[in-house]
Amino acid sequence: MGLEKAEVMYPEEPRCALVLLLDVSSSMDEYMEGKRKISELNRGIKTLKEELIKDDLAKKRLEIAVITFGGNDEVRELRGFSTLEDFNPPEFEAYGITPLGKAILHAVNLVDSRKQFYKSKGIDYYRPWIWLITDGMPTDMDVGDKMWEKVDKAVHEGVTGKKFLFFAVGVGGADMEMLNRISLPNREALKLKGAKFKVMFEWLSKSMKAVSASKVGEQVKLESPRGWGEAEI
Amino acid sequence: MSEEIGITPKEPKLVIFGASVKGEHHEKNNTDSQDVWGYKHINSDASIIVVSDGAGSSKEGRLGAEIVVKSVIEAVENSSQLNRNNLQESVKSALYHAREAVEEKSLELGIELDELASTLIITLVNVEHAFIAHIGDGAVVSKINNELGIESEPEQSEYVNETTFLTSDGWVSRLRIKEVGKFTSLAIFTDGIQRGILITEGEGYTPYEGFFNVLFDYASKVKDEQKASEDVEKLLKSEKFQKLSEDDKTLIVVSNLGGI
Repeated sequence: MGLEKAEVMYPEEPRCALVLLLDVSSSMDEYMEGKRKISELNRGIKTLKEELIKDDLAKKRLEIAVITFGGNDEVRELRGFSTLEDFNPPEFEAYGITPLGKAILHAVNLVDSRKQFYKSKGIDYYRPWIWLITDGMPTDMDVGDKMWEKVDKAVHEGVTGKKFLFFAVGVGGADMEMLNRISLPNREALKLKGAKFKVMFEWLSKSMKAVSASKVGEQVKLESPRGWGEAEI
Repeated sequence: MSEEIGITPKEPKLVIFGASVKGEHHEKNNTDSQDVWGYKHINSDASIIVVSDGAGSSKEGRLGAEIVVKSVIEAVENSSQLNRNNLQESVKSALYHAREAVEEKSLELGIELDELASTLIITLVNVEHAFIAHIGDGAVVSKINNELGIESEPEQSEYVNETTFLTSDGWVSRLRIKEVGKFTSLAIFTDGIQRGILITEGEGYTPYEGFFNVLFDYASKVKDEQKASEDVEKLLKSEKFQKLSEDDKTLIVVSNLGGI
């Protein structure tokens, strides 16, 4: 019998979940360096898809979910996770307040339920990423209050327990001190340089490509984000 | 690899053939394959096969793998007459030798030891038995008494842990040793093809019959190692395997003509 008769199985590709947690409150409607922040955010997300869809592995493995927070204290999830090909987010409009606390908790729960789904189907998965972009002060929590404690605990336990990676990016007038309280000690929150959304999303797409190409469990070295962000400690 | 064949004894008791193929991932980036393998006939009926897979995240993963393969073979060759009693010692000391060689290289190049990370499967075989030393992923499957079995599994990689490499801190405690009695065939492979030929069930793995029955049937009829190696190379380059993963792919087969 020739070797060409040897059969091979095709189990499911391992999945990499990315949650974009986006501030669409009214301050995102303001201008920075002559550009409307929300327009730059929308453009950046398009760039993310354009860059990633060129990559075969990312196409097969990456899943993106979008959670926005703003409006009348609203946290909105856009239809769960989709693969790159099905990822067609709308142009976001900015208005309203900033329920950051609720939004973070929603993201943490979303990631957890996605992992339960993977486990139930026997699908391998990479450690999910939560990518937060916010430009202001939260309106649903203050450092030290009940909501704050809940959020702080959820993020710290999640990151230390290696349940997800958490990246916080502050734009414009963001409260970096508050973001750092949530982010550290595992990772510094980064301040977006001006309105470099596009550069940031290019970095994110490069990182996602690297993760998609890595072996599950293998640590991926990320490039320095200096091109678009800086730590402010 | 095939240069190691040397003088084939008049009636070869063990047939060894196989190939390593660069994956799409490295083809596209025009970088080298990070799978390296080598083998040597130690004496008239014993052979050693070493397979090493450089860590994708390590800049010099391939170099690390090359050093490992070369130094393990060297060490085993230079050790005194191998027999049942000192197999384990010989292999362990070969591992230490390989680890030292990698450490020396990291100092020489002024790079972190991590940059030379690679997994490792050492298989020492003769017609009576096989001895396996395994660090990291990849696996060894056997056919004994007409039954398929897995002799050494890919390391149980919990979600949170990294694969263990020879360069990892915990390598000695994560080294897995397996002694196998008389066997008909063995297949040694890296994780580039693992997904397609091992069935995952809960905590363990089972060899996929659709693949291994064909492979071992083919192996039992091999007369020409060179031709057989070419056939394996063709197989690994086929669309069937390319579709499976972009990773480098290595498959080495040992057929025991003095076996059962």
